[in-house]
Amino acid sequence: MTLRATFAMKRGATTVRADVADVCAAGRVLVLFGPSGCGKTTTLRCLAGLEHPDEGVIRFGDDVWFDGARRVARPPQARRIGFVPQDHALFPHLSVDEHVEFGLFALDAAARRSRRAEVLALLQLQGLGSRRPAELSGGQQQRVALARAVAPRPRLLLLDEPLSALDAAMRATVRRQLRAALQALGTPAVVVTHDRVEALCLGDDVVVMAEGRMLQRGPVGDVFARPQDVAVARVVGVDTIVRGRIVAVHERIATVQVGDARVQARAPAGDGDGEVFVLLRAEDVALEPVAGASGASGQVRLAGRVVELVDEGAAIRVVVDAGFVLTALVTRSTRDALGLAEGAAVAVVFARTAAHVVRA
Amino acid sequence: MLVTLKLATLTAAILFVVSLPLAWWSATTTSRARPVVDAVVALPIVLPPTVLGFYVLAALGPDGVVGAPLTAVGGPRLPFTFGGLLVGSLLFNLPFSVRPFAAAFAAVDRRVVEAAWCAGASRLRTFVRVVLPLSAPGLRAGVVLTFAHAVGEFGVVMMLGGNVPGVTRTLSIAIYDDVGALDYGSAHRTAAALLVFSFVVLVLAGRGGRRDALLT
Repeated sequence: MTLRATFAMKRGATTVRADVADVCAAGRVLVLFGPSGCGKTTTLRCLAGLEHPDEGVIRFGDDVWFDGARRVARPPQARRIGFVPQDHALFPHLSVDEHVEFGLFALDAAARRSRRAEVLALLQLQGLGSRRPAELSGGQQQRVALARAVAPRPRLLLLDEPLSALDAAMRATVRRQLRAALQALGTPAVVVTHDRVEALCLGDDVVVMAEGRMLQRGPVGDVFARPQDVAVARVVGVDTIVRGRIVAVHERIATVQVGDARVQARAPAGDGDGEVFVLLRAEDVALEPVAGASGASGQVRLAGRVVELVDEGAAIRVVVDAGFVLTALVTRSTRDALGLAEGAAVAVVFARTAAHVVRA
Repeated sequence: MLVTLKLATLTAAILFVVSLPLAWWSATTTSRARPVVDAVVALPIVLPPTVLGFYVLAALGPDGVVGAPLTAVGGPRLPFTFGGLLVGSLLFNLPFSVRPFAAAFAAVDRRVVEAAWCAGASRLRTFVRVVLPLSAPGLRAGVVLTFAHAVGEFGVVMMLGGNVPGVTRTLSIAIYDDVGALDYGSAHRTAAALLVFSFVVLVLAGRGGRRDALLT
């Protein structure tokens, strides 16, 4: 089954322009990623049939779900989708059993019961059948929302910020469970999120969106590691984005002048005037004592001074001026071992392959 | 007493059926006609009952826009009969069921309704299985309010029903007559009964419903 969606929809000041062609193989998850207001939820609602674009075409396999020119706009009921809305939107007056059976009204009683048992087992909801949503934990509510959506065997699952209703402590566990459930179900899915960890954990492919436009599309790891330009880098949250200028290229390795420092990295594709951006993720940057050995081959090593330390709980975010300002993430033990403090001298080290250079 | 109960029960029952679709439309439509329709429905709240009663009387009369064709096809004569009274009561009490119903429908989470659609449930099925149960307290309040209001109505009944004992004479008219005849004892008994009845109904209506359901 292939999902093709090419449409435009005006929403207030911005126009959402979607252009998706996705092979929805069993268990594959496509993530729509971007900041709030970028149009990802609107795109998802158009796929669900809860809203209709102003123009364009949405097809799933041979089915035409929407065609502006031919005035086709199929309602959600006719699309055989499963939809997991933000905050779950469970029915407060119905039990877990009734949620799972809600979409099974076309089956006879015996078939309904057996499908219900199957779905409850698959999503580890056995024993909770008679409970109402108010009597469930956040993670259980999430699984009930998923169970309601998948029970009628949809051809495509649509999930809108599936973990946003959960508190931070539960999110990691539920995220793993959701990934396992999506794989076990084998239904292709489109997931909307603005959370990078969620995108990396749940998605196979990602579409990066900003201001109504789809900027880049590809395997999740690739897109997050190698954004095609600075706009995508900003959306996917690259920590260090600095301007530079290519001064030499040798065997596809570019030497880039960035501020007062020189950085070597893989040369960007294509031609240009040499004006570039250097992109570095904080987790790829290590800090070492200044007196240490000079950088190993394939590494970039720069001397610098600590500008700022921010304790983020799980890690320490260290802003360093090493000819240009960049950010590193280090553990507490590294901070203590290096005696990091504002103004302290320190060496920043990162692999050439970690620095991603894009043309300005 | 019997006339009053019959009128109020029929009014509440018929308005329940009529108001469900009207209130659902009002709560969910994006049509530009909505404010106009809402205003027409709400008119009886601000109009003196005599104004409404006068127009209904004129319309139902043998020369009226409704009465003339009705007489021509051999239909019943409505003014000063129970049927005419019921027509007036329905019109006059419409906002007291439509408005609480619409408020209850509007309070149902839109996303819950959408989740039902996406699970394959038709609009009607979603309405019956999700919207109605979730708005039940507001619907109950609307029915009770309509019933209670129909019991106490005076002006429209006075204009339309006249005062035919056993046919169109309701309790509120009886009180008026008793006072006119200086029979204060009888007026007291009926008035006190209506007061207690109304109070009990309001308490019962408020018990299961949301706080705001009666006030909207």
